[in-house]
Amino acid sequence: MKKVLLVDDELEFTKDLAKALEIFGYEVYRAGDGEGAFSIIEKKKPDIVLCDYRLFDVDGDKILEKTKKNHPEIKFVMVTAYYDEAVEKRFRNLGADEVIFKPIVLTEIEALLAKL
Amino acid sequence: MTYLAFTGLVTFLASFPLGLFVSRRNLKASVAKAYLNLNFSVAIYGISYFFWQISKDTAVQIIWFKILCIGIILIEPAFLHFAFNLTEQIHKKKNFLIGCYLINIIFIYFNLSGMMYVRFIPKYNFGFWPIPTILFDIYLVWWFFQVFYGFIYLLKGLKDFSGSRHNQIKYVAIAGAVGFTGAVTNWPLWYNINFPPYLNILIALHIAFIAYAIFRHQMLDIEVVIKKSLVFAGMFIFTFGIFVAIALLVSQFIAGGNTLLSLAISALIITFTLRPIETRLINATDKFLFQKKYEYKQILKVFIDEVITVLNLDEIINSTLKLLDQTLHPYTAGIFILNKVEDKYQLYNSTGLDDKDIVFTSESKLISFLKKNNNNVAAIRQINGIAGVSPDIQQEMAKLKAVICLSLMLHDDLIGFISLGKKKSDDEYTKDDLDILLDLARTESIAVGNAQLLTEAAQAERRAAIGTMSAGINHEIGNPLNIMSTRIQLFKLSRQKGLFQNKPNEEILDQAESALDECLKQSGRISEITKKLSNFAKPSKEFKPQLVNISEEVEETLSMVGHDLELEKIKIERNISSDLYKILADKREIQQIFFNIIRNAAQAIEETGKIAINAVNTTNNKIHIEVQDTGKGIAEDKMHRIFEPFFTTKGANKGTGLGLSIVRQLVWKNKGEISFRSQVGVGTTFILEFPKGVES
Repeated sequence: MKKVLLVDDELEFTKDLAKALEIFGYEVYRAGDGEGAFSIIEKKKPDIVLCDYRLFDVDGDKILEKTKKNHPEIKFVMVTAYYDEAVEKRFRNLGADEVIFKPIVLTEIEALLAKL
Repeated sequence: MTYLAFTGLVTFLASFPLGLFVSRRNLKASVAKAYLNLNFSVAIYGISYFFWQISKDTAVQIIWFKILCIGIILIEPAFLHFAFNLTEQIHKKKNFLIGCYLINIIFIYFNLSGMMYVRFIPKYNFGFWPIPTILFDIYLVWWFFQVFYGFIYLLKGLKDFSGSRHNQIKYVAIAGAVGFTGAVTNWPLWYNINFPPYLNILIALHIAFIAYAIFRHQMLDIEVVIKKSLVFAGMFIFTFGIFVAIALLVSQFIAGGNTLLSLAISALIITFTLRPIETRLINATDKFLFQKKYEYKQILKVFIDEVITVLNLDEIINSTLKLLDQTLHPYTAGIFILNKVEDKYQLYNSTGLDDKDIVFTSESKLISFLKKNNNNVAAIRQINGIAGVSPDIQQEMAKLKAVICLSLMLHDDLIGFISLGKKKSDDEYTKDDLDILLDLARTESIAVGNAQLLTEAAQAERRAAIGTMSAGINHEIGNPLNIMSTRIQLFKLSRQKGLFQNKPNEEILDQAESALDECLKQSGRISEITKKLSNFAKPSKEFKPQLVNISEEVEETLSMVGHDLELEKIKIERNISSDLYKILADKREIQQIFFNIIRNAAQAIEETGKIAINAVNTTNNKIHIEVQDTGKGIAEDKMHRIFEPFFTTKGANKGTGLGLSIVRQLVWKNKGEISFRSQVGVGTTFILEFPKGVES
């Protein structure tokens, strides 16, 4: 069973998304900030990280950089509410495997995770 | 030549050039045509008076005298014609005027057929004068009748008109009075009264009054023509005067006279004095008749000093055009500005140019010329192919009706140019004009450059503000929407995957209700943010200023946020002077201001810290409040943006970025000022100042 880490300070959102991902057959961990995310990454070694860009303590790209540096094998999906092609390009340049925009579509996420 | 001959010649020389120039202008106005009639009648009178007086042969004298009389007879109907035109009575008086002309034609016939005088005899020292018949007596009555009739209409016009027309009529009346007074002095000799017509010179003088009316009061709408004519007439009178004076002197000292010698001396004097006299005449006409024009250099200089401080491009361009129009009176003036995106020079605004869409590309000959020749010949004068201006360029300038183009250079770039048409006065641009125009162009370049820079900066700032705003809206509205949408999708997914099978209805309903509750909560969040947004655009409708005690409002605000602060281990210090002035403000808005500032301060403090609120009276009847925190401070590169709507340095759920922009609006609305100082790692202090409130 693949392990997915959800990072977002919108706790209602990660709670629901976690339930959906469990239905899709993933083992799901949740973090509300960068600090929590780093500790779960180290402890649980998730296969995939789904991370919101705008967090209270750090920006999503910091988590992206650090994750890819320490664990290049982890697939990283950036989630953001700002729809902008330039933003997508920037995240991909930083090493994001996928970029998805809010509001998310569960079936798209299912397909996307299966592909990774 | 006798004095009387001289007066005739001067009359001719003053009137003829004036008429010539007016006619050359092909003026359509009937008032100008009427004036021409009068002018030429006077000219005929003047020149034949001259020849009549200088002729030695009686037969020739009689011929000139008859022509002279034609002039006299024509002057009166022409005077009436002009007077009716000027006083706008011409339509009513049309038949009367035709009658006048017909009667005068009959008198011309009498004159030519010799029926008005018996014969010519020498009178005193004034040459041959006629002995009048009864027909002439009748004519004299008719003459006086016409003159007085004309004056009655002029005087009536004086009463009926005001403004410049009133003045025009006034000067024509004066001119008429002067002229006819001169003319009247010719009649006594006919009747053997020894009152010589010395005042005949007044007929020449009347031209000056007419000219004055035309200059100062735009009579005939031809400021243009008359200035040249006046200078021209002055020159003629001057050269002629020299010639006569020398001739008279020579004949007096050298018996029998010596024409060749007097001519030579005259020529010599005229050659050396003509130029300075011309300059003097031009200056004199400028000074006395075009006083505004005379001062234009001064006006331009003042403008050059001032335009540099203007930062709005529209204002710079429009005031420049207005100024050029008022000082130099060109037919056309245009200012072209480089459109950097399209690399084209577009007409920004103009006066006197009908085609507003004129565009020059960088490849145009004119533009290349302006770029190349900036350093030495920024102004090109199009005087029939002056060296360096090719026919191509002249053609392009003709499109602009321009005779001068001034480059606007900034550093080494041509950022635009000013085009100027011919002067309405018909004068050429002088070297003085060009010097001052080059000064103007240099200053204008800098002013335009500054204004453009500022516009670009303002646009960038606006783009940044919109960027922050749309990012803020994305975040603040996008996240709740995302939560709602995910919850709904999750419910549908659960059903689709059969997760609700075998579950009691109650549990499914609970799940549905919780989903709906979540949606409700999130929609509430969205509506909060939209409310704040509209508040931001249009802060509170009811504005109720009253005398407010700041100390009380700070306490009130702290009672709202204080609890949270204590929990967060933030210490509050108050240092509010007990005799602090009250201020005139909206109580609710003052609370809102403090609420936002104190909450910001609290959020800036990472773990524990202190917020100090100090307030004192200032010596200039204000109160000075400082809200100081020991938070993380504001980074220098963000300082200029903190009052921007939606700009925030806080994380998600902590701030919308609207707080400080609303605060600033509220402070301004309550007649206060807000500023801040900040240092990263030390803290931020917001400074508020409000004027002492006075009960209204």
